[in-house]
Amino acid sequence: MEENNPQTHTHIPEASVVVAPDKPKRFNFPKFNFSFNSGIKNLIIKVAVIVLIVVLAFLIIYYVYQNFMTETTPPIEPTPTPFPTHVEDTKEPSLYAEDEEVLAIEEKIKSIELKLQEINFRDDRLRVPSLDWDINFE
Amino acid sequence: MRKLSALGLSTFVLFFSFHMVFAEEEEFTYEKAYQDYVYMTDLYQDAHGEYLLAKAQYSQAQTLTSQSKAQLATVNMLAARDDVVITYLRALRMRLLEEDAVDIQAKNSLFARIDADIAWFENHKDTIPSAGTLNDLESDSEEAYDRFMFTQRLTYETLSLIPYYKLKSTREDMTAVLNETKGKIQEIRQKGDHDVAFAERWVLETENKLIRALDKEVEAQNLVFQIQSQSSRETGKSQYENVLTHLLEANQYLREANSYMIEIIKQIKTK
Repeated sequence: MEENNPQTHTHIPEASVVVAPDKPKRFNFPKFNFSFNSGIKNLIIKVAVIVLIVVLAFLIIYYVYQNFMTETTPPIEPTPTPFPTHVEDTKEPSLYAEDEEVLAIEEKIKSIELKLQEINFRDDRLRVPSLDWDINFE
Repeated sequence: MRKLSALGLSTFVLFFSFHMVFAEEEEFTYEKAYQDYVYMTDLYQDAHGEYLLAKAQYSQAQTLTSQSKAQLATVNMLAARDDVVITYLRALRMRLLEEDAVDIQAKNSLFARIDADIAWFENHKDTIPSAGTLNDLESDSEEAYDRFMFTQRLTYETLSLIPYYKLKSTREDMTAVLNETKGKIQEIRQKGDHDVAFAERWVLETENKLIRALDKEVEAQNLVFQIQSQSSRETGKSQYENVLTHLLEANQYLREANSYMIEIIKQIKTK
């Protein structure tokens, strides 16, 4: 009967336990212990880092000095023997640049140049024929 | 109808006859002579192949039939071989004929010797079929070989003289142009309106190069004379190679001299 009497029985639900969510974990950088009282391992690492920084700095300073703060002298080489080139000269033309005789001589020189290029010294077509001269029936 | 056919036929015959009589003969040039030589070489290769086959069969069988076949193949091969030499000499002659730079006296001397050689091989070719035995054919071949040694020396002499004269002619042209240039420089110096000191220095350099080229030419010419005077068993090939080496060196000097002449003109044409 008590069960059917809604006034006498109230079912109290159990209180749910609400657990506060965990705080998001923050990434903590490992703390470098600069204390000189840390172990030998830390000491070695410290020295290595300092040496590396010093060497790097030295290299940078050296590079800057060599390239920007000193005047480099080019190596001394012997003057090459001059030889005629066929590059068009940019010099100013002289009184004889358009002289007919000079131009005629120039044309003859060009014609000779062509002749020298065309001389065929070895005539491959007229090589001595290769024939069988060894005729015997022994 | 018959009359019409007869008229057509006679017209055709008449036209053909005119064509045969008045058609221009094909000019015999070096190119034509060279093509003949190439053709004969092909025929010789065929005949030589048949000769080798017949020879092998004869040496194996040693029968009368194989002997006569070998004899026939040898006759054909020897005749074809002579034809190769004849057409080669004709090509060489035409090459010499068409080369304007060669001195006319040198040409005529070489023509006479080449023609004599051609005549010899033509006569030799005609006598080959009269050989009765294989031994006779061996003798005929040996005879042609001896003559061919002379032919080789003649060939190398001709092949040496063609580039020699071309180079000589070019050097002479260059000397003439240099003399003309020197005259012009002298004229400019007298006028005094342009500095020709550098041009005159280049003139001296050019003259030195021309002298060196001439020295090489003379050495080459002496080597050509050595080809002529060689013993009967020498081919002349090594002398020929030496001639070419000297001519190439002379050519190099001439090219340098010509480049100096270009510089001379530059010095004259610019301030």
